[in-house]
Amino acid sequence: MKSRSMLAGLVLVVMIGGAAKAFASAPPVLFDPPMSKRNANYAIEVSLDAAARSLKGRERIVWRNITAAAASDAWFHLYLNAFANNRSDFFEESGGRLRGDTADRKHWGFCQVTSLALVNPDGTKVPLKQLFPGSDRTVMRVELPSQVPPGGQITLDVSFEDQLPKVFARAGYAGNFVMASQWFPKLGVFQGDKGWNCHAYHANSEFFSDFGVYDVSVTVPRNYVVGSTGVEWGSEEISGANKTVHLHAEDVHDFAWTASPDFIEADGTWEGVKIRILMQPGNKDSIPRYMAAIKEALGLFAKWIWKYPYQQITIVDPPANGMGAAGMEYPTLITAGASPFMPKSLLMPEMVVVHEFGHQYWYGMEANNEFEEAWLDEGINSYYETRIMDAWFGPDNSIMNGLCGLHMGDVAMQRIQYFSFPDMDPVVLPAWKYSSNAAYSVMSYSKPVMVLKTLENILGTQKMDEVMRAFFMKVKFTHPTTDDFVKIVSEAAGKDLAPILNPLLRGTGTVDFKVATVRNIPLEPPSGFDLAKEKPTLFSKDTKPKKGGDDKGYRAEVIVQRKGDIVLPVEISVTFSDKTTKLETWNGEERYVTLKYPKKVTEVIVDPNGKIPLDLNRLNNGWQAKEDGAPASTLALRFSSFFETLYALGSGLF
Amino acid sequence: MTLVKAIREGLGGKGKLASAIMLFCVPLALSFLAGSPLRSGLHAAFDRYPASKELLNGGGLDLLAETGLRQPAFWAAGFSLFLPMLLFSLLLGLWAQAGAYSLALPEAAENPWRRIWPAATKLLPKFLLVATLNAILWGVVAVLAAMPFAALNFRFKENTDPGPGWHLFLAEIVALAIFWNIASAAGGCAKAATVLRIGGGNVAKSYLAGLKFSLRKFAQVEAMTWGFFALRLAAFAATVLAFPIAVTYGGAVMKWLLFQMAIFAMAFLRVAEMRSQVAYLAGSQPEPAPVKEEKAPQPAEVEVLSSASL
Ligand SMILES: [Zn+2]
Repeated sequence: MKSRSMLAGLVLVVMIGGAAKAFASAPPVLFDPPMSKRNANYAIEVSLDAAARSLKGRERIVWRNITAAAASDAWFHLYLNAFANNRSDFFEESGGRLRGDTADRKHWGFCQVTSLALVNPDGTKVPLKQLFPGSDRTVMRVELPSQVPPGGQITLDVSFEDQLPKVFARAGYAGNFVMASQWFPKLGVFQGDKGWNCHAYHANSEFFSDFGVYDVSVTVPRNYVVGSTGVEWGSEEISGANKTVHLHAEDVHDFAWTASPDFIEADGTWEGVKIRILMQPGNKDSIPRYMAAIKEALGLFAKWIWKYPYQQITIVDPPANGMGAAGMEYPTLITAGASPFMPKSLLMPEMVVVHEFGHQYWYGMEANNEFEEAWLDEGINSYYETRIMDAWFGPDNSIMNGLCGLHMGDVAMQRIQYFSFPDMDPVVLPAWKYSSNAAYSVMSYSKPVMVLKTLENILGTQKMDEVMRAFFMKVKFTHPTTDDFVKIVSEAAGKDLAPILNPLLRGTGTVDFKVATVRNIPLEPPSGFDLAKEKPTLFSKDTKPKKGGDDKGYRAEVIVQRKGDIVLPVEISVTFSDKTTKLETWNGEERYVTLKYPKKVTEVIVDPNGKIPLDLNRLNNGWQAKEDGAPASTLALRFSSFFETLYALGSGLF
Repeated sequence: MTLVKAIREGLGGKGKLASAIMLFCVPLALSFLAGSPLRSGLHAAFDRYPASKELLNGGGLDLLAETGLRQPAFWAAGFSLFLPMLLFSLLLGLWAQAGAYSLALPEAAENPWRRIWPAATKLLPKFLLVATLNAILWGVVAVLAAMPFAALNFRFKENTDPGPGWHLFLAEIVALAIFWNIASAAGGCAKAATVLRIGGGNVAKSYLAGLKFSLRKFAQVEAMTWGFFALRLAAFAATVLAFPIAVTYGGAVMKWLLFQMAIFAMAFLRVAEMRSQVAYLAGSQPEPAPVKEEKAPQPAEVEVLSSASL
């Protein structure tokens, strides 16, 4: 609508045909030897028209076939076309709503390829025809004039124009803030005989790409601060009021950048890693919160998994009117989210930084297929988010740390999400096949946390750390699958974990242990015939059971039931009227277990140490002989005070 | 009459305690009533289970969420009386205010406990009308005043740099507080005018007289309103914010008692404000008849309203 006239006013500073010669020096070498196979490499020049919120760019892609099969075509993602209209898969699936944000239907976006050619070794170019195989234009295909054999390499030149949408899902603009993510025509992943893995941009899906080297030159107005994946190695002022910033990244599978004249910059370091925070002015009070969180995460990931290998991590704080860009991960660049209204006791900014940084491992270096098995990054990463937040603030306070006296741990918060949608879909499912956005999010984030936390409790934390480290070290810079995960963690754990993991990850079974019955049965004195005697004689009346203590003269029967279909071993603590407690272990294989005791039972708690957060109903895990009204009364008093405050307002007391 | 003298009169005199207690009892009684279904629901849900202990210290929020999920009607049932009682608090509050304003008349000071109930009941219909007029007037003003803010909010959402969001919000809070107190002061003066029978018993005339007075003596009336408002907020904040959440039932009871003290202090301050309004308005009338009042104080409750001479 507005975009055409805006595009007409584009001021372009990209010099087609030779960016390299304009540079004073070459980009740095960051990793020698490379950490990844680097088979998808991009050199991009892009220019921002700040007034029109549009980008104009060209890229040279060098792609190597690392599979054993020849490639006869090439598939690209044109992600921004998801925001082109309300007919895209993304829009039809999301209805224009995602992660609490609503699309601005006046400010659409697109990515248009204006020219596309294969570059021959002699420099001549063969134009290629754009084909659109999907139901929308987020996927583009070109047929290659000749096959690329295994080990073969091609070079492609692509020119493109982007209109940025008003930020709603990750990419776009908000005021002067620009979040350039999913912004350039990008190859899918060639999987040999299976062909290209290049899905449409779905509402419930993220991304999948190969590793490579990125050289990106971004031209923006001179007063803009630029942040990006990788490192900045040079910048120059150019004609007009613009500047070009030169950026470089190695062994990454995506490249994002951001620009805004409003950013306040805060720098730090952690063991040689540069920390760069680009903050909104209104949120500058949250800089220490971001800084503390990133350092905590860097330290614990180094301890538990692997020291962060990249030179820099950039944290971007989106503006309040661009929160659709918040809470997102890109290689070596993450977006967080803060607000001046956020109380210190609500640890959302910390949690988001910890979570998005964790993606540098689970997504960044792991590089799983997020379209098809999102849990491998989101789920494992959310588990590490809870681990770090718990280690930092304690497991009962790691999300809400005394807000109005209330507290809640990160695992408890994930549990609330989990039990609202526990069994519609399995965890492992292509992102667009979930019954709903909520089911996608529960199955990709919350349930995996429950599963991995339960696994940690079964294996022990130390063993869990060994197992997860083994998994990461084995799969980093590859594209692992769920099967790889189950296989590698089983090997590392020294036992086959498939019987536990497969039902939890591939099935929809649930866990719910319940104290079904507790019976304290008074012992009756023996009556009738005593057959042990020589001749059947009636029991004498004075053989009454002793009634010394409360527990004497009783026997007890406890039945604990497994209501869900998932079989897990569980502990049961039984307390008796003589104040002794017995801890039982039940393998959980039968539907229920009956426990018998020669004395009176006063309390039964299944899973007393909370080892199975998967349990859907925690209240029915326990039973107590004596009703305890104190918790309910206390809660009632708190609510009563709340009511009274509003009634005081109503009756004119304020 | 000076403002200081009016406030001194408001703080002195007889009948304050009865008025404050009546005003204090309204939210207390309503919260007790509204809370009873929730109380029994909570006991039924949690008394039997050991895990409930987590609720005591401000934790166990997942248990609450679980309960709500398993019994979708749980919270709906627990809060079923909340809204009706909130509406009722408007009416009962007005009734208690009518009592308090009635006792603010000097001749009503004797035997306040006997006098307050019939006086409140008798005055309630007039106060209802005053409150309605005040709500309509300030509702219209509020809508007009909110328009520039709405436009600003819209512009902020559409396209702007992010800084002003916070300042805009603060400005809105301040504007709301200013507006609240202007409306509250106008309503208070109108009630005082009604109880003083300025306008000869015609509620609309009394309302206009009170409104006019609050605008004519704007600075003084606002100063008084803000002063009492600040004291009430301080009393509230002191108990609500200063004490951490209790982790035992006994502690929760203690905290609740402290909270009651705050509400009572607020009620007392509110009554003092009402009495100051009455004194200030009565003392600022062009044709006062204090001599007649002092000469012939009228103890009989039925005479209270009619004897308030001008
Ligand atoms: Zn994530």
